Amino acid sequence: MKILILQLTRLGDIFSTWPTVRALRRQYPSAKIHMLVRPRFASACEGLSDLDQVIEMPMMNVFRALLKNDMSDKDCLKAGMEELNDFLMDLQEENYDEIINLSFSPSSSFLVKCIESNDTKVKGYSRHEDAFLRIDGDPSAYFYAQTGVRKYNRFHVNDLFAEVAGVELQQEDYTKEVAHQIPPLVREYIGDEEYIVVHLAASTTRKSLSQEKWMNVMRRLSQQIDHKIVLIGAEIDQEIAKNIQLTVRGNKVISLVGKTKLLDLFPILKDSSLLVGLDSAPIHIASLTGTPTYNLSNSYVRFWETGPKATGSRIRGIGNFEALGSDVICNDIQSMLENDIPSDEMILVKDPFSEYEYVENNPHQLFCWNMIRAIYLGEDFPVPYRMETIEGFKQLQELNAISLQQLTAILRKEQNEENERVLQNVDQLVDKLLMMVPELAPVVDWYQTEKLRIGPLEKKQIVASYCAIHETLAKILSVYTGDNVHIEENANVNERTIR
Amino acid sequence: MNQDAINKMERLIDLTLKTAREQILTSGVSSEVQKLLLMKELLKEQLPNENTDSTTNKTR
Repeated sequence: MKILILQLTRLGDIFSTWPTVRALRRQYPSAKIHMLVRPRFASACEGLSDLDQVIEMPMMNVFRALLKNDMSDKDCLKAGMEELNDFLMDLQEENYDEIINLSFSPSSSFLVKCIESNDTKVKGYSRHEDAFLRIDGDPSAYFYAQTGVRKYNRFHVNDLFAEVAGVELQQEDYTKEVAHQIPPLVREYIGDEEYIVVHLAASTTRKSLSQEKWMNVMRRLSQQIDHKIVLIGAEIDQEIAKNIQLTVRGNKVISLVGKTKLLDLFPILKDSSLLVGLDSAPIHIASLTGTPTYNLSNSYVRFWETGPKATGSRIRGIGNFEALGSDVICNDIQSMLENDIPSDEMILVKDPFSEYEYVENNPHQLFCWNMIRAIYLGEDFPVPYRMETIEGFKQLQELNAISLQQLTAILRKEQNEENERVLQNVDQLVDKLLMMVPELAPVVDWYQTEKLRIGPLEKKQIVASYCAIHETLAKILSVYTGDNVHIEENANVNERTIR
Repeated sequence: MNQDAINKMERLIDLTLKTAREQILTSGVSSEVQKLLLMKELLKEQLPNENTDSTTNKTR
């Protein structure tokens, strides 16, 4: 059996794919497993022994051909297409039995379409014959509907990837040893004392602390804990590391910034007592080495999806890092090292398979997440937290009834153009309703995605399929449009459900 | 790749697709057209405002 995994995003997502790759290997011990990645991030595959081959997208060759100065634009495009075609043909010749697309991008969906054969089983996004997006499998449909900007998903990407791939993760998929030792020179730097690791930078500056904040934290922390502090980061972080070392007395702070490869971080993190980091690759490596992580997470990050997985990790979520005092950060770290009871604001990681433990104070977020759980996991539907929600559901039910009426009329071949115009108007009204009642989003996204999943069929079949989806929607909405629904004014926000 | 070059190539692809429109309507979307669409998406990913930061931050 031959499997291709597409993971064309960044370092963190590649490391988040490691447990899925290991689980695939467990499930198919003799399969050939290949992974397609972007060249810039291929180093994140080093150490993943369960892969047989890492394939790098040859985009530089393609773009170089597109930019040749001595050719016309048309000839440049032709040359670029030839380079792309050569690459696609190489992949086609592999005749993959299964392609697992964990990239969820328009480009990856076309890529899958261009390389799959008639017998290839596809998981994740691809394209239909008519070039429209094809969403294969319920997990991929969930991903499309409920993850991304302004969505309410709280499943971790590690788990979502495993669901899409059709594997069940086990402890060994996280804890499998990576065969690599700390390089001797690095070992000399670190010595034999206990240490924590601090990663200075995130993949984008908006997710990182300012240099001044880091210096304040390190100065204070060096006085507060006995452990040595080992700084890691890319070459670009060397200046901030140097400034930190200057600001902290003695040799408490060791800088490995710009001195390590990604693979080196595995044994370095494994031997450390703790990682302090933001939303970036070392967090995900620490999840694979079982290193407890203190993760700082601001409003740009969806920590439920990309936070640490190592047992004993803690997440400090805050809208703006500048509002977080250095003393708070240092006390959090000291508390973790001393195994103290965490403060209520902290989000706790019990183990890689449990949900994060935290107290949710935002009724809107909680309602939407519980709505997702009700739709996809069959759990109880949550009680609305305001009257507008119920009104919103009632209006959505009315619009749904109109849609169903029009679709039924189309099936009976009654005035198609007028029916289709009404359906378009209904879609616009639903968009407007969502702006006023955003907590309807999980159910609207669900049904719109279900309609999108219907492939190119005869018109009658498409319309009949749409009718079935709208009928299911009507059943869901009836939970909120019946007479028995009322808001419990003083009930605990975490305990309100509808049965 | 600079933005001008990307935009130029995208326009050229759109023109090629427009030329192939008649064929698409009569014979369906060929593999060559799917590859052109792939190229267009790969070019779009090079634009500075395209968010490829993480899987779950993907724009559609």
